[in-house]
Amino acid sequence: MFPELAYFVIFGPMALILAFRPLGLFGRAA
Amino acid sequence: MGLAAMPYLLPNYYVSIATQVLIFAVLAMSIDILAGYTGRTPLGHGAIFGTATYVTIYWATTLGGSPWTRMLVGIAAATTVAAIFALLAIRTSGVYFLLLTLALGMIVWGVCLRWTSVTGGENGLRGAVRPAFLATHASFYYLVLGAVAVITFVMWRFVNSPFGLTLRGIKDSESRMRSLGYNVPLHLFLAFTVSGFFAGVAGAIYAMFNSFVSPSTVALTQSVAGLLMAITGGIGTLFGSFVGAAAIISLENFVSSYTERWLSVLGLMFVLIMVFAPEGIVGRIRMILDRRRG
Repeated sequence: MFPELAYFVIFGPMALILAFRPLGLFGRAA
Repeated sequence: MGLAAMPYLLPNYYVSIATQVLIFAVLAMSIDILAGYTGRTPLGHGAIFGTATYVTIYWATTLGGSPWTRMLVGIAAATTVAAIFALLAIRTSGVYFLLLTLALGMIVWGVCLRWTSVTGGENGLRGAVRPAFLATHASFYYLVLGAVAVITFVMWRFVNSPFGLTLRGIKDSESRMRSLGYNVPLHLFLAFTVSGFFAGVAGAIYAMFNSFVSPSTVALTQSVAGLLMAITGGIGTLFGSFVGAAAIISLENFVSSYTERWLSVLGLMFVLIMVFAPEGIVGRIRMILDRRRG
């Protein structure tokens, strides 16, 4: 729908997940 | 002395390459502040560099203003982008920091590629940023040489200041610095923002050098090139960035005139450096000199 946002949609969630869960979505500290 | 005499001794082509080496050495040094002194390897500095270039050229083509205003606005934009990256990235470390900065860099690249009304999309932006008195290769080279000398001195003072020593402490052991009472997230945020500021300075000077910017300037390849220049010269040795930038840019420009497979030659060079001098060229030289002294 908005080709301008294409790469935002791909990499945005990745950036947000790593920003709020620094060890990954299901990561646990060792 | 040799650097100052270069425009009198060599043709304009080589002076242009020397100017490029100086500009990308600043980018590599900005990456070295994080990778070498803070222990956080970023893969998004190409985006910060390119943001300064885009904003400088956009300001020149669309809004006019003096060349110095355009550069200041470009540097301010890059520093803002770096501060936003820093806010998101300071909680991560190691490979996650790498991935997060990569993702943020890709977002900037995607915006530059798709926002055609502002950035020109794949066609990029072209604009005359250089003032008339810097039109010749020699005059621009001297300006860049002077600016890079000042920038290098400021960066050297920064990494050897008490703040810089704190960053080295964080690189060695973050938990120890926390237990000593240092505000580690604040130090990381400031280090990233300062690093982004210097990358922005390099980007603004590049806008003057090239007068053209395209999405490839903010792409991952630019971030990787900057990081490789810092690694080749020696991570943690600020001046190694000059050696790394000279090695990579010279290889790109000279080897490519002899063979189409210049990328293979570049790759082979990296492999050899990683095998025989993993601490980089300048790092290796320092090790040899220390061994002879000791």
